[in-house]
Amino acid sequence: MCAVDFRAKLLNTLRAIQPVTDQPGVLVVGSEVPNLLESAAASTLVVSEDVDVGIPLSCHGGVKECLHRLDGFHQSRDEPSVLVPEREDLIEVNFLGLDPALTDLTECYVLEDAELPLLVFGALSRMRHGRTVEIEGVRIPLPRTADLLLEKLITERSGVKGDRDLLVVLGLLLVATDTDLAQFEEAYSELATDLQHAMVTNLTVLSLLEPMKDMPDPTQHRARIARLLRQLGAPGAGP
Amino acid sequence: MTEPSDRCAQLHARLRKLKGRLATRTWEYRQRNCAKGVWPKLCRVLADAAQAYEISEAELTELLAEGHAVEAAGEALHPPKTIIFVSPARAAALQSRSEIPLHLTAPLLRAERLALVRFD
Repeated sequence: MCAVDFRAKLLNTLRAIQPVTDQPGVLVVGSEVPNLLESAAASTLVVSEDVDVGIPLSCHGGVKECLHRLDGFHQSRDEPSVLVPEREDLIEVNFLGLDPALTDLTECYVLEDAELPLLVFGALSRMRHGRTVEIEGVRIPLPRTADLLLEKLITERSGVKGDRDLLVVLGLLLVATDTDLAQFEEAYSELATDLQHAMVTNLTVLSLLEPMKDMPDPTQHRARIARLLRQLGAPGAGP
Repeated sequence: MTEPSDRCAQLHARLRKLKGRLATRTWEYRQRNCAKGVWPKLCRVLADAAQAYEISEAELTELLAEGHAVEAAGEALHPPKTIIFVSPARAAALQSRSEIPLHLTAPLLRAERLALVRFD
């Protein structure tokens, strides 16, 4: 699959679900975001063929109403929080729950609902809207880069996907502005020590990863990671 | 009519896996000051290094005599590694140095004596 094809599918999908993403508070999250933040959403990073959409519980009802108006998808029979594409020019949509009331970032639960059940992740609870990018007429609400970095680094992953997700973190770091990094440091300072430990450990693992085809090369950016680790400080050390 | 709980079976399965991984991480965190905690400490040391060199016993002895501090993470491994940070100039003067890629792969894990150069 070449990058141009994937970019077109990604934008087609986001255009098709615009009624959902236009709901207040809905955010496009997950590994596609670095692709969307590349110049003109070039989408050069290798990711799975789906797009994650964070649904605040406050607009769950509104999103359910929108589902009936979407063309080109049907809900997965096995996992109704997933929209399966019915055309080759679309990709899967994976709805995730955002519950701002969750204070424990490691908490997660299933929101039972006959129509649109959701897996609600505490790690997404602090996602705040950063900016809405408009690409070829498609409005895409994105969270703050700092919040995405934090979510990627505290969500427990393993194996090849874990390594790939860390390279997505690198992709985010490469587009992060000074403001993004300042917000990231602030968010880190507010975390419990065990989560700070997890974040630091994941950053050190990222620093030691071998290059992976079609992903940012960590060996070229180790100095940047080392600098960030110094700025974050040791877990539990305080600001 | 499908019951909500049936419709949520896959989500509950994902939730169980996620909670299992979180439990593992919690366990790893509790182990941070025990033997298994050496791995994150080793990674933290290596993340600060711009270069890593395997060096000879004789040159290691020289560096220790010069007062270079030994990183505790290396000594907590078996077999132990002696890991020290040196300046770029001192590293350049090491005759026995052989650069090792900074990945957690065999060359680095096999090396018993490592001289690291810190990022500026």
